[in-house]
Amino acid sequence: MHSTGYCQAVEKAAEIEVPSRGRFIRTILLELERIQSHLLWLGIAGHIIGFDTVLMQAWRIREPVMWLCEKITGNRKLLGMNIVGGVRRDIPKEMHAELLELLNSIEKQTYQVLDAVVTDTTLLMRCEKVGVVKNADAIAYSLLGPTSRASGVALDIRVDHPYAAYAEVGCNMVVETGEDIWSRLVVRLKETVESIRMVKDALTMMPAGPVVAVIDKPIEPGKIGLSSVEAPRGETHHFVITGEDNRPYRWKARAPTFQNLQGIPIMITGETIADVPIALGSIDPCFSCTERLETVDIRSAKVRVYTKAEIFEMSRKGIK
Amino acid sequence: MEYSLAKIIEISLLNLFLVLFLSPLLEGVIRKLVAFVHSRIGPPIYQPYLDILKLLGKEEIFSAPNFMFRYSAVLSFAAIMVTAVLIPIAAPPPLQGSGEIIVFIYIVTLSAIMVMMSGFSSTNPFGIVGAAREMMMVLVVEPVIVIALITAAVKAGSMQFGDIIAYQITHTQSLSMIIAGLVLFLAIVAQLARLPFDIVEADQEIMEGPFIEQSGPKLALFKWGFYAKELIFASILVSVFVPWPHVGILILDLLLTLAKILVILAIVGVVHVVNPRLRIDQAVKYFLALIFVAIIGLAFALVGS
Repeated sequence: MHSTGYCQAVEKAAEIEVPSRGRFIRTILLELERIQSHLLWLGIAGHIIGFDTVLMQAWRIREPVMWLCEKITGNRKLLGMNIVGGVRRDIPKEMHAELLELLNSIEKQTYQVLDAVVTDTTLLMRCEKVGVVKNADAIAYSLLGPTSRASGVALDIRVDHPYAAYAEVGCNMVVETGEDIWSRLVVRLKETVESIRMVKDALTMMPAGPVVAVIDKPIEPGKIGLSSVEAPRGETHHFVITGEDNRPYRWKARAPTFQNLQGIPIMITGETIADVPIALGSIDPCFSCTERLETVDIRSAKVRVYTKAEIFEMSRKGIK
Repeated sequence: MEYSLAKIIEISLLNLFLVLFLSPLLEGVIRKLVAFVHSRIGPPIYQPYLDILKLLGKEEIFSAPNFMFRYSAVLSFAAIMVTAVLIPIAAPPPLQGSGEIIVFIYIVTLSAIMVMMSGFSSTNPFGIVGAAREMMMVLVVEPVIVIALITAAVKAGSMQFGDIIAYQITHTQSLSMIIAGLVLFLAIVAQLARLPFDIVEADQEIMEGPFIEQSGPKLALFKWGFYAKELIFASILVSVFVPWPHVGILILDLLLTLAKILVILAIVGVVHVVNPRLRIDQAVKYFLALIFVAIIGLAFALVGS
């Protein structure tokens, strides 16, 4: 996800056009990542409310997806396929039939697990009307991804500003209006199903051709590129200013969890302790994607932002 | 039913042996069953023995320097061992006395209260929240157990386990006993801290709840006590509510009872594995409804049905 964002930002800055087959392969890998991420989330969410069976089964059906990635890229999770200008490796035509068969079996197993999860009444009891974020709050706090789509906010970069091959493959946005944790679960499950469909379509639709653009002159320094990618957790933005010697001068990534965390206080105010872990889990937090550590002194209302060096020191010696 | 002193000692030792040394094996069987539903292999059946042995050998950390924290594990375990000689496993319980069901309920509640004391005395906020939940659970689950057992006592006309079992063996199933058996089964799922009523323990998914600060041998005693409670409650359910077939020969009765206990624990395991955890308020509402059902069962018993 991030590698695609960065490469696209540089490509925009340097006006490099990625060949069609490369864009399709990028789409396939992006959607496979989304499937992996949502299935992982389903397992974690189940574990948080004590439903270990969901954890084990969701991660069991995640295995074939990782085999699929390994077949295509050689890596199970961190795929390492994107380079500026395209992708590193092609998906040979001989592999397509095998991949489609694997995808069909993944789809069948996914439906089995999803049916079991969606019809569970106790799960519904724990997740319905819990961690509620109203539509107006979702917009006011700029919540992103499935968290906001579950509150009726119809925003998805794949649909609004298509990148890679999304314009050709097409993406059906999944929006729910329940505004609670259950809706977020349903949004993610439906997105998983939609992603499987998109990977199958992309595999069959892929045109022949090169997978990487030929870059025969050095990238001009001082150019600005901004690229947005729909990560499993929401919008991810990459901003690049190109510099000398084909290196970036400046690069900033804004990951969605940083924004989604701002919605947590609304979700948990007034709820019981038992609801806090699942509310936190429902935004699918990636804490390593958050930006900075801020503390507020309750007595003096002073806000203090910690620098990177201070955070390192605190990790070693404890919070001051 | 009167026992000679020799018989008392014999059955007491048998009960203690089963409760202490067989219960980890039953826990291991439940874990294998849970693993099977999870599509995984799971730990070997004797794993709980290894867990207890490992914990007994670990260093103990006294993070809260008070009497209750130090000894709640010991008191809980002692209460469970006393319970072991008060309950019928394959034969009527060794220690007979009047008001027997009452004594059983009191001493079993003592074990639950020790769990609470461990949580409250641990000076850890998670422990205190866990102990508060244990309090709420005890308040709504104990009445169900009490009413179910009193229903059996009303049918048999006596408070002693031995007499109740003798009555059950000679009579067929009745509506009030069926209702009492079913509500007792659900109360047992909660007493054994099995999903969906796992709320007290692994809850603070959130860090073990009342046991968060216990370590080493004391934690081993708590865990061992939990395994022992599985056998104790399952054998109460089986002996009092499903005592058929009854042969009269100790060994055969023992095997039959163990087979039935295994079935009950397997059902508990299945319930455990297909449910997520309920919130404490949801569980309290559930058990308030169960108390109502249990009272209906008692009413049936009082009118003779």
